[in-house]
Amino acid sequence: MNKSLKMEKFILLVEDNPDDEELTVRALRKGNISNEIVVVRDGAEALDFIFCQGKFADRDINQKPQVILLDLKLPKVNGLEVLRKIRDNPVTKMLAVVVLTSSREERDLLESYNLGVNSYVCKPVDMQQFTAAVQQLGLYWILINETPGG
Amino acid sequence: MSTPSNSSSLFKNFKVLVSLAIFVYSVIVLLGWFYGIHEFVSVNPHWPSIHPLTAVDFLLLSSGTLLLTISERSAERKLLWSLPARLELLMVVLIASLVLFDNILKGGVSFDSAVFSKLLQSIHTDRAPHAASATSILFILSALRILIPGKNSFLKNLALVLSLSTLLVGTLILVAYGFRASVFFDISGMIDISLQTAIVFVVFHLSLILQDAGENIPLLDLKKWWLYLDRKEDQSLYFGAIFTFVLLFTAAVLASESLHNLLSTVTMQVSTQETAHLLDSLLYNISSSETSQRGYILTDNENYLAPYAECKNRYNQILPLLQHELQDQPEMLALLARLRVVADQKYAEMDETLRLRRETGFQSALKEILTDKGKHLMDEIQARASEIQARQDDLLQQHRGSTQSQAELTILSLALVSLLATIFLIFCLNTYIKNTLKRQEAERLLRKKEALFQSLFESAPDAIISLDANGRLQQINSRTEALFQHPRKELIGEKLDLLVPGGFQENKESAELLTQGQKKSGELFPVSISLGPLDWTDEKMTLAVIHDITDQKKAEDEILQLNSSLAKKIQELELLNKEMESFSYTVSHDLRAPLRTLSGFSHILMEDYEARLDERGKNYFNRIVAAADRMSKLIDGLLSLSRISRREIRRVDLDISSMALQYLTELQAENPLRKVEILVAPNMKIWADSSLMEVALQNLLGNAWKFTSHNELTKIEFNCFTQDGDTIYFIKDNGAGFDMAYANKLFGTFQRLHGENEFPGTGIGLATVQRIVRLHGGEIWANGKVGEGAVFYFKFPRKEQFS
Repeated sequence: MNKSLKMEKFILLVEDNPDDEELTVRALRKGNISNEIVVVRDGAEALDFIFCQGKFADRDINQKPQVILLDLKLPKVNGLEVLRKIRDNPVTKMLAVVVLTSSREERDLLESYNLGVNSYVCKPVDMQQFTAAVQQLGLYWILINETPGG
Repeated sequence: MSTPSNSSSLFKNFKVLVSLAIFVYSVIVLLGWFYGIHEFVSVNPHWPSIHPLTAVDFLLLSSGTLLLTISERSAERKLLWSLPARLELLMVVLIASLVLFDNILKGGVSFDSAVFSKLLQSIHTDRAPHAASATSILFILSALRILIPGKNSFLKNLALVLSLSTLLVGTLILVAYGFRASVFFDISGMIDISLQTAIVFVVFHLSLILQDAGENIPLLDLKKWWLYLDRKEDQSLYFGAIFTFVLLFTAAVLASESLHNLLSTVTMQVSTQETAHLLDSLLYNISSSETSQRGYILTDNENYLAPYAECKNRYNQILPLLQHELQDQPEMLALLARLRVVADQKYAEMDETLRLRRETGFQSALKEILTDKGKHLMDEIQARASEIQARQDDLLQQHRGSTQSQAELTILSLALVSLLATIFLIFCLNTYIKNTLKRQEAERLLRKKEALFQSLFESAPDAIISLDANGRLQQINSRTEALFQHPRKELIGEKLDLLVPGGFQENKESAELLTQGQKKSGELFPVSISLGPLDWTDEKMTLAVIHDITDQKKAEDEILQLNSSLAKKIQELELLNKEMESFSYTVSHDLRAPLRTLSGFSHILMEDYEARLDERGKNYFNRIVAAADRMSKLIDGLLSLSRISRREIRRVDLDISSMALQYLTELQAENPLRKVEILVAPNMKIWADSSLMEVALQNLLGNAWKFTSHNELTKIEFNCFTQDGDTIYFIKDNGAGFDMAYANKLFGTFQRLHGENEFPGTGIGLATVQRIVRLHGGEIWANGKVGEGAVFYFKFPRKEQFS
């Protein structure tokens, strides 16, 4: 296995809360996931990044994230809207998106799956649980799951 | 003026036709008198013939009537016709009055004869024609009748009376002629009305009566005849009456015939007697002549001859009398003629002997006598006379015989007829009484029914109105008066618009319409009207039932108002709900985020700075973490509790046995080291919402699991039993139990009966279960004993109660 190729797999983390961001990143690192983690702060920035617009205009669109960890409650454009845009565009349609949110609301679940989310995970308050969850997430999506064009 | 009934149109032209006929007949009669045509003038030689003056009067009367009718019918030139008509009629009155006065005063010159003397001589009748006073009176009455205008009922009645009286007299005369009661036309010149005159008067006045009053006399309405004859119970009456009449008429005819025969018998008897008397007288005269002849022959004394001439004279006088007496019997006349011949011969012989005596002497006369010629002749005379007498007697006897038998028969039939008539009359009377009673009874019943329907109609709680073809009110009941505040007489004949001003569309079939009614005061109020066609007679009538729906409307309006306020409240509630949802949503997100930070960074601190923390420091961090955890759980509990209330329950048949088993199996799988005895009754069903039931069971079973966690052996039972038709489920554990004194706090929100260090918990679980149970309309309660365990019971309403 080419390590450099593995190095090119990166994770896009869409999270507005810096505390949550810190915790998530820490959990991932603790889980021996050393891939690059790109963090964007809100929905608009996320879209700009994914579609190589705005301040990410010069990014290569073919450089796709291995997985997108998407929070729902985001300023500017909310998570569901981002998800919809991702799924609407044929270029980005097949990106792996995992909703990582504190909401267990039925309608959020429904809407996310309707829009074709790959996975929906609730952020537990308990640190251990949170860490375990994130680590498992990371492991699965980075190492185990296969994506096309990967 | 014109009436639609058949009869009057039949009689309409009757008057005209009859007058025309009379006119023509009068002309015929006058022609008869002018040209001496016997048949035109008299019917029967014994009866009076119609006088030419009478004919002239009839002429004037009929033409006057005709002209008057024409003037009545024509719109213009009335005067042209009516004036000559009235003149003619006045002339009739004038002539008749003259005749009358003439007769009464018995003046020397008979006016009638004077005028028509030449005519009267043309026809020889037995009786001298004579204008009767009665005829004149009838003419005056008739003319007056025509002249009277039918302006008011008094005049009409007067006219009717005149016609009827003339009709009566005329009919009487006709009947008299019919029964040959010659007393009416034989005696004086007063009554003396000819048959033709009587007929004409009767026909004339009949036509008048029929014309003017035909439609009022039901007997003349042919259409109604069938109606009468159709009534079976009255049929026997009619036929009985007709039969009785026929019987009586037959009896009258029989009696009349018999009496007439008796009369003729009497006449015949008198005649026979007279004949006998005359024959005797004849014979006596001839005998006397013979004696006188003998006397003279013997004595030659002229004195003996005197009686001879006398007797011969008388003989010559008697013969014509006899002839007259026997004039109706040709047989007798023949016999009389033969007798006369012989008698003449006898006288001839006697004359001869007398001449001989006078001229030649006694001897020649004696010689003549001794030839016995005279004697033989005498014998023959006697024989002939007896013959006549005998024949007369025979005839009389015969006639009397037949008359007697006929009379007896008549008496018998009269008796019989009287009896029959009486019986029939009784029968008819009986039938009549029976029918009348029946009819009365039927009428009584009818009236009772009528009264019943009337009271139904009047006491109906709705306004009932019947409308004629023009939409005008005909019948109304008291409720209508009360509802619309109009007295009855103001409403009848009015259009329905008066009560329902807004109008409505007419439907052919019955329909109920909502509209506004208007009271007399002008106040409008809501009504519902049902209209329907009324099947009665040929007129197109409608039945309207008006129902006051003021109260209903009010109630409806109230309901609508309540509904709208309810809708508003629901809207508000829904709004609130939505707000609540977004509130909980916010809570679940925004409250948890800092919690995560709290908890997370505490952990990080713990991990990274473990070395630099002493026991106390670790303790503090643990507390912080624990608190954050707790808060999170509380929030979760609250959120789920609130979510439950917002959900709509969808009830289905649930197999809660398998649900419970599944959950307990999971619990066991999570805690494999615990020794648990599970008893779940199989196939327990409940009619409830699936996910809510799951939550409830999880809470209850979870509690049972939790509070038996300190036991060596955990026993959990989930079962049910029936009580009063309801199924009561229970979950029993042998765990820590609780003090019954605090039982009322069990289901309170955040209420705990144990400390956090004894058993962890938020105090929300049971509150949630209770809310779920209550949402289903069920009940939940618990029993417990500290240290021994607890039983939680719940029951739900049955499925049947929701169908």
